[in-house]
Amino acid sequence: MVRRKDSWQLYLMLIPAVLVVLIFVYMPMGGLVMAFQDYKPYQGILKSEWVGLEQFKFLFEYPDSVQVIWNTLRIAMLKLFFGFISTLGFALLINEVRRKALRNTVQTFVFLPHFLSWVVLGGIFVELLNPDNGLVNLALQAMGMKPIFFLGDNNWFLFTVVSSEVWKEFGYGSIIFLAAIAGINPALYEAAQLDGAGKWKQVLHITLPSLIPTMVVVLTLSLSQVLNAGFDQIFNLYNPLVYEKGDIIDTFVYRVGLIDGNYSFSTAVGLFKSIVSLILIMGAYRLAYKVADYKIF
Amino acid sequence: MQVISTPQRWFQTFNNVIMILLALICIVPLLHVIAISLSSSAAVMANKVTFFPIELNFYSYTKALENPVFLPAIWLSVQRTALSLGLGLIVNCMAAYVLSKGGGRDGIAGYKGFVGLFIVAMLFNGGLIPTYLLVTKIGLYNSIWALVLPGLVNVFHLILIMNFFKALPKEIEESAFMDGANHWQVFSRMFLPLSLPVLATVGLFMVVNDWNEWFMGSIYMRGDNVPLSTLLKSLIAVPIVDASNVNEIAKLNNRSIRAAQVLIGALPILLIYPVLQKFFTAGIVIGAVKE
Repeated sequence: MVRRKDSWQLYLMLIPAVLVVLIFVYMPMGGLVMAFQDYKPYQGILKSEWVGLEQFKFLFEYPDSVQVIWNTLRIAMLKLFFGFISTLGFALLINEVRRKALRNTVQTFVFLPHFLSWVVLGGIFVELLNPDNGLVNLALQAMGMKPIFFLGDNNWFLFTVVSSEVWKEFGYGSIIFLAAIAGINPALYEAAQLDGAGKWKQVLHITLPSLIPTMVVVLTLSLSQVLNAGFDQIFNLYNPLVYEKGDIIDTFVYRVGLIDGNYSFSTAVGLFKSIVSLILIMGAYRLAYKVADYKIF
Repeated sequence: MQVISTPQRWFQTFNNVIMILLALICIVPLLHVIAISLSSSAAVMANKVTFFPIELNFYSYTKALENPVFLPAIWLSVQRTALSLGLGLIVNCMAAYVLSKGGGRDGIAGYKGFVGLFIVAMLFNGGLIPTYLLVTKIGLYNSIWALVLPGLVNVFHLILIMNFFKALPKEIEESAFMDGANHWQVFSRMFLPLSLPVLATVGLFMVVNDWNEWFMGSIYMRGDNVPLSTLLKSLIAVPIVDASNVNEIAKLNNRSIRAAQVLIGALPILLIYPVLQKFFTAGIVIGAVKE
C-alpha cells in the first residue's frame, strides 16, 4: 500500500495527548533545577541561589532521611515478597476450582478491594482495628488475647501496612497469572495424565515451569518499585505515633516540601528517588526482555 | 469422561472451602461497616453490631448528607469523573490508534520519537513540588481542570488500548480504506465500536481512579471546594494521637455517621463494579498478554 494521503490526520489525533504530556510532565521537569538551589518562592527559580549538591549532602546526613529510606525499602520489600507469594498461590488455587459459578463469585469478591480507595479503606480499617471497640480486637479479646493497637504501635504498623496491602491486591494481582495459565497448551496436561501424573505433579512440572516467564516479568518489574512503598496507603493509615517506622520517602517529601515549605530539599529527595527508580526500572525492563522476552511496545 | 480420584475430590472440597474463606475475608470488613452505618448508635456503642444491622435505620446517612459541604463535594466529584472519562477516552484512544499503526508506510514519520516521549513520561516526572508550582502558575489553582488535565494521558491505559487495536484484523480497515474512508472514519466507526471490551475496561479504571483520587484535590483545591474523596480524607482520617484519644474520637465522632460517610464515598464504585467486572478480565488479558 502506498503511504496514504490523509496521514496528516494521524498527527492531528496525536496532538492532544502529546500536548498534555509536554505541559504537565515535561515542563515540571525543568523545575528540578530547584534541587540544586536554595529556592525561595519570592525569588523564583531564576533568581534563587545555587547551592550545588548541598541538598543531596543534607539528605544523606539528616538522620530522619536515612531512617525514611530504610523504612521505604523495608516496607516495599515485604510487600513485594508477600504480595508475590499470595498472588501466585491464589492464582494456582482458584485455577483448580471446577465449579464455574463458585469461581466467578470468588473472583468478584476478591477483586473488589482493589477498586476501593485507601481513603475508604482507611476509614474501614480505623473502625475495624480500633484497640478499644474495633471488631478485630473484640475478637482477639474473646479469644483471651490482649487488644493490639494495629495503627498506632510502631511494631504492629509494619504488619498492618503489609497485610492490608496483600489483602487489597492478592485477588486482582492474580489476573496476570490466570491469563498465563489459560495460555498453557492443554495437550501438555493430557500427555502428563496419560503418563500418570497427578494434579500435584502437573502443577509442579507443567503449570509452574510455564509460568516462569510471567513470574520473571512480575518480579523484575516490581523490584523496580522498591522505592515506592505506597504513598496513598501509608498516608491514609499513618499518624504521628508511627512516623518512626511508617514514614516513607513520598510522605517525607510531602511533609518537608508542602507542609514545611522546604521546596528545594523536598525536590532533591524526590529527584534522588526518581533517578534510582528509573535506573531500577530500566534494568528490570532489560532483564525481563532478556529472560522472558517481554516487550511493551 | 475424566475419572476423579478420591484424594483429588478431597483436595477440591478443601480448596473450595479455602476459596470461600478468602472471598469472605475480602468482603466481611465492608459488610461490618455497612452494618454499623445502618444500626442505631446505641447498638454500635454497645459493640453489638457485627455483620447485620441492629435497629435498622438510615439516620446516619441523612445526618452525613446534612453536612453542607457534602453534596457540593459529591457534585464536584461527579463532574470531575465525567470530564476525565470523556476527555480521557477520546485523547488516549486517538493516540493509541495512531501508535497502533507503528512507523513505516501505514503509520507516521517519527513514530519512535513519539513512543519515546510517552515512555519517558511514564517513567519520569518533575516530582511533587515542580508539578505543583506549574499547575498553580498556569492559573489552574482551585479549578476543576487542575483535577482533570494533569492526569489525562495515562500511558498504561494508552498501551492497553493500543494492544487491543493492534489485535484487530487488518483486513477490516483495509477494506474501509478501499471504499474511500479516511483515518478519522476508520477510527470512530470501526475501531471504537469493535473495542468495547477494552473501552469498558479502561473506562472502569478511569472512573475508579478519578472518583478515588484525593491527593490532587487536597493540594490544588481550596478547603471548601474539594471532591468527595478529599473531603472524606479530612473527615475520616483523624490523626490518632494516643490510645486514650482514640476513645475521645470515637465518642465525639459518631461511628455510624463515619461509616455512612465512608460508604457514600464507596457507593459509585460498588455500583459500577459488578456491571463492568465481567469485561475487565477479558480486557486486561487481551491488552497485557501478547503472542
